[in-house]
Amino acid sequence: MDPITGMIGIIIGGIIVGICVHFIPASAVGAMSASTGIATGPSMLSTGCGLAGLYAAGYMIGESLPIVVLSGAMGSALMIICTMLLANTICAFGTGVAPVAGSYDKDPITGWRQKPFMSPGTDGHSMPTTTALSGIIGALLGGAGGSLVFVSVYEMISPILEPTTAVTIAGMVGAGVFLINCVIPAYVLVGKSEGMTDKKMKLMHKTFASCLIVSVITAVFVYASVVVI
Amino acid sequence: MTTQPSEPPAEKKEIPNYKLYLLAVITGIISYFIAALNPNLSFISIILIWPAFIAAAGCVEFLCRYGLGTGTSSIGYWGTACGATVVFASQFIETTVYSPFLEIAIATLLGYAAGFCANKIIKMKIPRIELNSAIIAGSTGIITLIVLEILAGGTGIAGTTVYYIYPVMYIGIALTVLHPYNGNLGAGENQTRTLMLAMCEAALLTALFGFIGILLPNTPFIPALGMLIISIIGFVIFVSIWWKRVKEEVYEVVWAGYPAGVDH
Repeated sequence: MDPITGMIGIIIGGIIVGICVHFIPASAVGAMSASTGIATGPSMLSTGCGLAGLYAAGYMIGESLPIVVLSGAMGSALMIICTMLLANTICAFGTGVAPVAGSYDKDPITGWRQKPFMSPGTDGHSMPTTTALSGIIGALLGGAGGSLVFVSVYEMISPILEPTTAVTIAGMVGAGVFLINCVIPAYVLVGKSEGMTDKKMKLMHKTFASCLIVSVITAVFVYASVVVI
Repeated sequence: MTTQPSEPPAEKKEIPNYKLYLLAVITGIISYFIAALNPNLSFISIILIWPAFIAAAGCVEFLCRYGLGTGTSSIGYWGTACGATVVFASQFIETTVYSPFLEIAIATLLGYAAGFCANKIIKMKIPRIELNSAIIAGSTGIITLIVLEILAGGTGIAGTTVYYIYPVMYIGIALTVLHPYNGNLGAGENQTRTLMLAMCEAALLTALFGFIGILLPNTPFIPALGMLIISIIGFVIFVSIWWKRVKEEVYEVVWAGYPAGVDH
């Protein structure tokens, strides 16, 4: 991969990471089963998924680009599936509430009614089918975006560094780009999102513009340090 | 006869964060060159990076007064991501006299851009978020740069294999920057006390890096030992000062029931 392509890869990966956060269902008040989503901030959850994806991508480094990106996406999705499964189990059998969403009357996939099962004074609890699917889409995007940044940085620096050093630096830069880009959308979501059915999806253009600016600066710096300096 | 009510004590003026950052940049650059020119004097370098922790923690304290949408932790690790990522990404640049200036400037610029996006595009309407996120990013960049330089023993970061500790460094710096605000009383907290807790945590973290440096086979022993000893001394001093600050606003609880010694 030539440095220019690597730089473009970092920018695209950074933007995908930002977009992924909009799909992840998360809410701090979910800890009290007062809202749909996993009980933490969207940025925290996205970070967890993204880092799991980077680990998975790291195992495949050296293979072709689609394989590494797919591996990262799968690792990330696996992490969020396990998290959502356990969160739903705890809500159903521990707290005693059914998975329902506050943003729609009937689940778009199963057609199951939501409102009758919602506890009074809450915005839903845990993750019904469509919300869970949104989480999986978000994790796939996040893992793929993070892995794309990781591979791009690795391919740029591997000719000038030893493989182990290159993997570590690429992994840390990938994690750093992920952390920067996944916090910015959390400010758009104000700490709470139901995923793709949430009204805040309409604000995605703000996330796109912000992540584009930040990713361009990071990518240009990485390119400059490899090629120019 | 009436008595005039005594005037309430004047509130202490807070130190502006940009002044703390200017101090951190000056001491940071001096610290970098000390570590690069004579690694055995790195115990002085460690003392000189503590202001960077204060500047970053001060900005977290300032920003969190306005109730961020996602919490204290996010602004801490966001800023650290900007600073540390720039330094990690510049590991392979050949070390020159311009290195610290370039890395600190780029980290500050990235932090400013992220803050600019938050305020102008996302419209968070938090006063001076651009400046404060730039300071957090620049300060964490200074810390990462100099700790790596000390552990590399002045041979340049690329000359050694300290990359094992990148994740620990990242997590440790982020925690030290974001925790002092949460570790005290939150909104409206006394700035001096928050910053003193940041000093305690900074010394504790640099002691940890010193300890790691002693254990790692590829790092020079003397600089790491110096870092450990000076950090432990600093930690003891800062904790005692911080504890005094905590006690300043603690009130004695007086027994308000039966007089002592009376059966009841």
